[in-house]
Amino acid sequence: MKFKKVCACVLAASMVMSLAACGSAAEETAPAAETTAAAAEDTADEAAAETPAAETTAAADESGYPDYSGVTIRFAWWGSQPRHDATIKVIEQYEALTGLNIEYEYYDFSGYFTQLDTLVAADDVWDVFQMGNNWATYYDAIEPLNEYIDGGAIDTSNINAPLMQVTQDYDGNQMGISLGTNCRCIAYNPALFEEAGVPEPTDNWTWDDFANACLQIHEKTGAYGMDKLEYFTLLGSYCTQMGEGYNFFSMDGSDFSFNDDTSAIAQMFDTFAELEAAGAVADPGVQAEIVDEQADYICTGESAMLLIPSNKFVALNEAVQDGIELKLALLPRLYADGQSGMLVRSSQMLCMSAASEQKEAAASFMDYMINSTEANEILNGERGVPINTTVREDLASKSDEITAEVYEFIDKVSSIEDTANTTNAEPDAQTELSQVLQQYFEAMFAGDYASGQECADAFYEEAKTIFASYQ
Amino acid sequence: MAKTMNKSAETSGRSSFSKFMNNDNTVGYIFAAPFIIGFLAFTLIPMCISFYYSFTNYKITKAPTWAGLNNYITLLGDEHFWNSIKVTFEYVLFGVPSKLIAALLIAMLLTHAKRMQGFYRAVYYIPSLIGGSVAVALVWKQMFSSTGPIVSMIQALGAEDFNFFGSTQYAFIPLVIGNAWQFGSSMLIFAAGLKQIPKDYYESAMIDGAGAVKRFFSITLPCLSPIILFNLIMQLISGFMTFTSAFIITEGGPNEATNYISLYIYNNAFSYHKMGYACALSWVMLVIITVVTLVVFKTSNKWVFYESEQ
Repeated sequence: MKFKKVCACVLAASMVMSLAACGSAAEETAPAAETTAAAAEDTADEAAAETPAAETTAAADESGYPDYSGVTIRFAWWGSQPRHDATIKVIEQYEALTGLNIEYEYYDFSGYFTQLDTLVAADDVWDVFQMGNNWATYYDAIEPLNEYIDGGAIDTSNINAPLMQVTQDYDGNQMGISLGTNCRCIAYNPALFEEAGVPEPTDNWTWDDFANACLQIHEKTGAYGMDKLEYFTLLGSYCTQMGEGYNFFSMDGSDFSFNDDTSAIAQMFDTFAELEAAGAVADPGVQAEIVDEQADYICTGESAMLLIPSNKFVALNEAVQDGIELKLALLPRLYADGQSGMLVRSSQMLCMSAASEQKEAAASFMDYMINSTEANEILNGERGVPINTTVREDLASKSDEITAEVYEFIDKVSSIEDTANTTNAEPDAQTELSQVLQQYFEAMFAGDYASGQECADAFYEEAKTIFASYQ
Repeated sequence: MAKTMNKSAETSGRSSFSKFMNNDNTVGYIFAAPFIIGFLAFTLIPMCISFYYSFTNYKITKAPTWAGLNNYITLLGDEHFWNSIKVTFEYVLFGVPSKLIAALLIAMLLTHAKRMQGFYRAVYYIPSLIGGSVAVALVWKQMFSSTGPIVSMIQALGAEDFNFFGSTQYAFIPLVIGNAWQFGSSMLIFAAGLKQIPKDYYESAMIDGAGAVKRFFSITLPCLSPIILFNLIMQLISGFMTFTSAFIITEGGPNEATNYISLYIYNNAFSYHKMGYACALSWVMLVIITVVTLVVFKTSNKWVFYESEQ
């Protein structure tokens, strides 16, 4: 009898626990489901409202948008919620203007590329799709745009030539059109610097200054110096900053370009292993928990710095708690009087699928995304600073303080002369190298290597093998 | 006359058709058709293709080129591969027994519960239905995260900097626990097995003065051993194929401590675009699972007890 009671108790108790677990699972998913449902309703409502809107705009605007009624193209991109919302609005606007039917899909970064890979294998890629600087991997699936630019379907008269070149291959094929430019930068919380009594970053601060700031801030305030690390950016910066002509990848991405000199990489491993050991940088477990900028400890004032692409600065400012003010700084240098390792580049671009059957309509939509002021007022430079001069001026004149800060920052980086020495290449091997680099960092943190030099040499050995496997 | 002839022709036509339809084999195949089609389309054909790809250099974005045994040779010298084998075995070593013990424990408690047995059984089966999902993996991630309830409790006990997913030693523990929690299907099979054990064995053992522990080890375990063998093999196979939790929760880290072989295969195929190499890896994985299963089968006659052989 007693046993039964115990039994019943144990069963009931453990059931409560599993129910609790179920409950939290349900909570976790429920809001997401609601939002999707709400989003679906939204689109349905807008779709319903679309027809009259289309008529009015068509009547009001006779400035020659082509009529694509009955034509359907597919368009996909990756990003976060604000980007999805803005892009969908622009799509609906363009549908109303031309009658074109655009079927859109959006993903997070890794989901996007998994989907793209399967579509490439099936030769069924979206007509228009967003692409990063890793376009070399998808070279055969991309239709060069030269024909459409020469034919006038895509207007580039307001775009400076260097900004077109950032998305060309070495033979001058226009692989895509940049949706905006950005550069890597450090967003930092000046209040934490002040509290710890460390000077704020200057335009030529060094990695030693950076490490010192991290350690001081962690010691005095308990906050992380920088919680999440972007390992591959660190690697690229250290290599480029070794001296003029140095880079991790050569300018055309066909080889390494640091004269087999791993000393800077060794210094990088040493510095960050010290910071991680001191707790000034988050351990790999905490880093893995930070899925995006919105989840970063910088938003709660528990971390002082974050390495981000400049176009994310606006969204980051929206995600921080009230009262936290952020500023932008250049990446630290290896030598205060040395190379900056900075580069303004295309943050992402629009590509046309080589397999597309509606290339003309696709080109027309791409033209709208790049050149229309109305469209870009909605997109608001979230993908990067627009490359069309008119659009850029229009946005700059209407921008708030934070957006203006990003524009200023990009201007500042553009004016640094040595940016011409920094490579923009992202060869095929980069994804794997980047993953393996993270493993070396984590091995270094776990104490598998006695010194940074040992770790750097082991990494370079493996990097060479990996790089060769892609040739 | 003509009409009758037609009719008879029709009837004979219909009867041969209905004969065909009523044939036992036909009926069998038609009922099995969904499985046969699914098996061909999603298992057999892809397996054959992947066998071919494993001998090619195939980057998803470009057409495959013949590479002979290159992928298999590369694999032998690939440290990440050997590491993934090592951590996968570790996972199986801890994960499978803990799941089976949890399943057996709950199954035994349930056989003792007199009221609402069906209800409890259904409730305990729920984790197996939803446990493999991404949503649940995210919940586990939260529960065991550096700011989650479980780590907070451990930290309160004194281990200040403790963090599961930051430690190469402990990162796999939440994955093992998450896996053990999905004990439902093994539990049901155990429960059915427990009911098959004749009550007289226990009664006579009790008369002879055997305690609960003695009864468990001398009656329950031996009588249940065929069922244990079955569950062990099923769980071994699924243990070697573990993917979701490592993919969602740890992403293989830290320092490759949870870079299980299926995750390594996935990364090679879909992140690095080395589809040919990934296919070679999966064939090696198939061989490993087969060998382990065979070993378990071969040694089973030493510990599995079939009543019919008495």
